[in-house]
Amino acid sequence: MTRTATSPLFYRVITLAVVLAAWEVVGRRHLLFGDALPPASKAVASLLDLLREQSFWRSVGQTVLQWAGGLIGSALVAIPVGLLIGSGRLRFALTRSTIDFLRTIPPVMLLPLFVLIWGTGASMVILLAIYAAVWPMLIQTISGLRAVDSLTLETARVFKIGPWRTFWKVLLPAVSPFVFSGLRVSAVISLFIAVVCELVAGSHGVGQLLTAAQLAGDAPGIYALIFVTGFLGLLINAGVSRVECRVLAWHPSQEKGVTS
Amino acid sequence: MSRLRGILERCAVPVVLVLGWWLLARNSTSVYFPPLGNILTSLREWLSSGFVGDVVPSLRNLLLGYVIAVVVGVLLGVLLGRVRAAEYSVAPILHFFRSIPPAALLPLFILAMGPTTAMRVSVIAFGSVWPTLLATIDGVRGVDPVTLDVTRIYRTSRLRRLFKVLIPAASPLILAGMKTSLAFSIILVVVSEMMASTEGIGFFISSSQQYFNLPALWAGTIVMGVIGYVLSEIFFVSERRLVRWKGDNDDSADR
Repeated sequence: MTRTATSPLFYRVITLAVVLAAWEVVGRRHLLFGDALPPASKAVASLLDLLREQSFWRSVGQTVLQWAGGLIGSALVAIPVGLLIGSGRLRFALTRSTIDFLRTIPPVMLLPLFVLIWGTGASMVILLAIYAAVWPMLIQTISGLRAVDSLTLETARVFKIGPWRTFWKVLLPAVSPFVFSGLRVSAVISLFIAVVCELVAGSHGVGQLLTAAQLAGDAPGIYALIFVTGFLGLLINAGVSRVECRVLAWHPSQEKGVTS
Repeated sequence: MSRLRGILERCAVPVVLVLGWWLLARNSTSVYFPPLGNILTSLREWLSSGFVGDVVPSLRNLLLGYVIAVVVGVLLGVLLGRVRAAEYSVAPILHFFRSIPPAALLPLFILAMGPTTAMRVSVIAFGSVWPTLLATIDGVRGVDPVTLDVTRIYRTSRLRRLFKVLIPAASPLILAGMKTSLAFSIILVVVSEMMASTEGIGFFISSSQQYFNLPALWAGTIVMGVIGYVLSEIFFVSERRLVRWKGDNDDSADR
């Protein structure tokens, strides 16, 4: 493919400027959606106001706490259970249909039930996030174990490497790239669920601020808060990729030039 | 025999779980975990009264929003994947939109359009377009340039090239994106009905919650679980068909 002479950055800055300018004009003239599309400058001003409020940072902290609780909790469940299920043919065959069914239940459906049973506090949000985020990691851990080269295992057996050492030195390294590809999805899901709980059930967090802004008809505030959730999503993605790079530095998939 | 064994292995755990639930909750007095029989009774009541009126709007919105998201995502994705400058300029914006939890868009759509059906379909389409869009861009960019050169030499028309070469070659990635989009759509159907609707399964469930009608709440949750399962099975079967054909093609072409 021919290389473009102009750098991507150039295009990006220009596009961003054009989009913001168009947003500003449309917003000022009330061309679209009336009051629901305020000019960009108002949304930015509202964001700057938010950043100065302490209660806003407490809400962000709460959302991050619930996200982290969901992700860590689901990893603690998914990885051991996945290793257990993936290491035996019968165990895999027996649980497969159940996992397939439970995984496809939209987790949001369980929210009203969870609210009645556990209330709207952080523990309910974390439990629902765990339920939702556990599946990608569980399934990846299982398929990672099942994809371990049988020749490698036989080699380990021939060299009389004990089961414990085989687990740490052969199985775990072979499974970890799979676990991470599940973890990346789980991290996103956990944030989605935390925000949904805050929006619908009114659990403390950024989503609750969004509902409040909607009820108050504060359109600039809604844009500012949506921006905050998007930014959290970006940060989470970048953070998980970074951890993955560190942990899997030895793996060929992390070599530069191979992936892209 | 091995087939029978496979069926037995598939069914054993679900049967044990359902039986266990039924036995354990048989005499349950807990408000939160009613006996399975009560749940089935309230499911039957729902089926005979408002079931169709609740399920049809949900499925219709889901289908409409999802189809819009897929069509827009694939077409726009092909365009952005083929035109370098366009992809360069909008990539950061696309990645940003992808990172927004889809439900966070709801307050905005409610404010802009009110609690209408059009609002729910729009939020489903807008919220679930990103995975398909980004996957299509990646898929189209990964199409073998030699194949494209060949179509150019044979003077294949643009439309033919789009539907016979570009989209099929990118289909494994597009399908993976479409699967994520489907999950987003299902979430958005339910959440949009919980937040701003007077119809649909999401509304049925949240109103059962407000009236503290736990058997109905469980019934609604189970029905939605079954719908989610059926949809993903349909997706799985059609994906396997499409990709099997793709796999054959690959074998004869370059392996």
